[in-house]
Amino acid sequence: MKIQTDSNLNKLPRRQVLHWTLISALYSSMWASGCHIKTSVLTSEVSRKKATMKHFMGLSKALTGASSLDRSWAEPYYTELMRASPKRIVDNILQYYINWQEGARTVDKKSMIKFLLSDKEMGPVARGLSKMWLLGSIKRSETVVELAPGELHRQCIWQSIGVNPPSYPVGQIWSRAIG
Amino acid sequence: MKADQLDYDVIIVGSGVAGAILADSLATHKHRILILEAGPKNDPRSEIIKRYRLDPRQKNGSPHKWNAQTPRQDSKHKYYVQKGPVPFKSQYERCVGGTTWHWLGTCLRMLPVDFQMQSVYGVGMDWPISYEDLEPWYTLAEKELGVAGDDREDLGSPRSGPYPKRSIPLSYFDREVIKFLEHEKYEGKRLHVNANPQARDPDLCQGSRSCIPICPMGAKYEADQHLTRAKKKGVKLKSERVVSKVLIGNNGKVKALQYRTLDGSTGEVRAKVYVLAANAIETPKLLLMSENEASPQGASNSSGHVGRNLMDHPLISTIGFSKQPVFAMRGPLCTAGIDSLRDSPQRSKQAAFRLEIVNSGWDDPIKAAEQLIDQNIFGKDLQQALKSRAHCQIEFAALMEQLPDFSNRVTLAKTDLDPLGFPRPEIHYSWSEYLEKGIAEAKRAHQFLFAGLKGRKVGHRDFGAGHIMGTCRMGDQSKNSVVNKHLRSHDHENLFIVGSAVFPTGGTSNPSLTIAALSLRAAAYIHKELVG
Repeated sequence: MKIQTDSNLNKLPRRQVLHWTLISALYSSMWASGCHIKTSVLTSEVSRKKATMKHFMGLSKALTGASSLDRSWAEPYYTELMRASPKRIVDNILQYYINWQEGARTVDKKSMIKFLLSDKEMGPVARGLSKMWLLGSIKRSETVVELAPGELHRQCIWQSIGVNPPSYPVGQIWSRAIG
Repeated sequence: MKADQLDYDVIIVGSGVAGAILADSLATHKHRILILEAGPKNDPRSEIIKRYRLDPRQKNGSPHKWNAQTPRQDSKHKYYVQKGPVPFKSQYERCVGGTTWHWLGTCLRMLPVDFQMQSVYGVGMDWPISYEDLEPWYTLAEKELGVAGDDREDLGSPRSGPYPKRSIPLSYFDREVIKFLEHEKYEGKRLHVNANPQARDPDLCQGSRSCIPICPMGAKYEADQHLTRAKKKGVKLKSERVVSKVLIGNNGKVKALQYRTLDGSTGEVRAKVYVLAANAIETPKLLLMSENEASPQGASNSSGHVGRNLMDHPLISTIGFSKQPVFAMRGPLCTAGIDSLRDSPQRSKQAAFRLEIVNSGWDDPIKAAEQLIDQNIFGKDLQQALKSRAHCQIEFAALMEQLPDFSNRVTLAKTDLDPLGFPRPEIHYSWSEYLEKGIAEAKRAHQFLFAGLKGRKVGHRDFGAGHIMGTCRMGDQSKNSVVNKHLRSHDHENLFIVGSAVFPTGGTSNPSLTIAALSLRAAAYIHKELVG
């Protein structure tokens, strides 16, 4: 599995970087010159994305039980989940969560997640999302686990169990209890 | 074939701990030394670490590039030809610095009685030297390797000096075992937990928990340290030179070594003295490949003992979960052991063993998480299950004594060649009743410790310890040994063998410190020979 990391972003083609720089500059100049009508389109797009990421993080926390997740991975994981699974199912999962979050909440969170995991279509994708956060990967087959190369330190599993990934120095703490 | 013009006082085959220490020691006396290493030079540590982290499998071989000389055992690169009945599971690295790149670092001395197994227990063979003979060299070897240990502890091997470095802190798990053993005896005997003497800098170690296969901090001794020092003293090191034949002259002395490079070209090198330091598989393999008219059984093999008496410390472990957390998976892989069972009156009938308290954990947290997620466990329950499964893992291991057995051997698989076109090592290996009885006892001791931690046993595992010994043993008589007490070949007076291949018996201690002590002793002897 290849997830775009910060270092990979640095390797984007120069043309693409220039494109984004121009858009960014345009956005700034529009804002400065009071082009409120045009910027509102961009603003709503940004807001929509922000809201999606917020719900994506909320769902991720509910699934993994992790008290904190690194927000900077939300977008790459979301992109990867969309790439590895049918878009329709990912949208359904998020919509399901949003409906629960913003709706009447007729069931508690635990029951909501239980239902999600037991669903034939949404269950495997939701489990994949859990694995992505905890293991930095999605299991693609029964036997092969593909880890994101060189990104052991971002697997949340280590944070969950209070242990450093192998080969990452942590200090002389092994005589003490964890937590 | 080109004749190498360089002449040396000593040529050493192999650049692991045995060869590196020997070279460094001899170079101090200005002797001209050449080391021939079959494997490649290693990349800088940062590159090795990167390779390890990039490999999702994170196996022992992950940090090192595969090369034609590397004896991997996986199905793709199978190296040994296993003739059984028991598979031989120990491996080694074939690269500059040898297996010290991924050793655990434990530096135990052998017990005095380990040198007298035949006299005291009527089994195995006595060494031609005693513990007292080797003790000063042990002290020097500890200094050379930078061994950290606790001077207050009596491990059964009398010491003439303190450890060079302070002990590595015990783990939380070690301390839990100590608490239990304060109140309970095992079959009427008090068991003591001792800090492992280990070649690890207590100030540099940062608990990276990847001692095997690679320490990112360089806290653990690696033979590269001696090689670097030796090269500064003028020692020449040539890598990717696979020595293929020891050439014997009409006078019975070794006259040259023949080698092959990876591009297929060959060469010869000459010296006054030749030392084989290529480990207990490659050294006998080379001698057996060196057959000629005068020595049809191979070089230095008039006894027929080259390749015989192959030994290991079969490693038997018991794994499970404790009732209370012991917080494994942290720190050096093993910080303490129980040495009380390394000798007992039963040793005439069954193998002794050393117990290790294993910090590394046995249950892969990645697989555990996958299983739990696949069982639809989520949220706080998932976090709790992950913690409980990781923190309560316990493992006790036993390093089993294995006696020399003439039929356990390394020979040449003449029709099954390695990628360089040389015969692969053919291994004939079995476990004796003596060993099996010892294993049963070790499992009982594990069970006792499990009960103390209110543990739930999951099962047993067995491994090779990587302690490959025997195959060119030392002895007083040329009819049943390959080298004498000075590690000089009985058959060729300018040929020496160092490394664990010369061990007549293996006791229960990890062999590296004894290898280093013997190398230092051999270096002093060779120096005397050279200066007349």
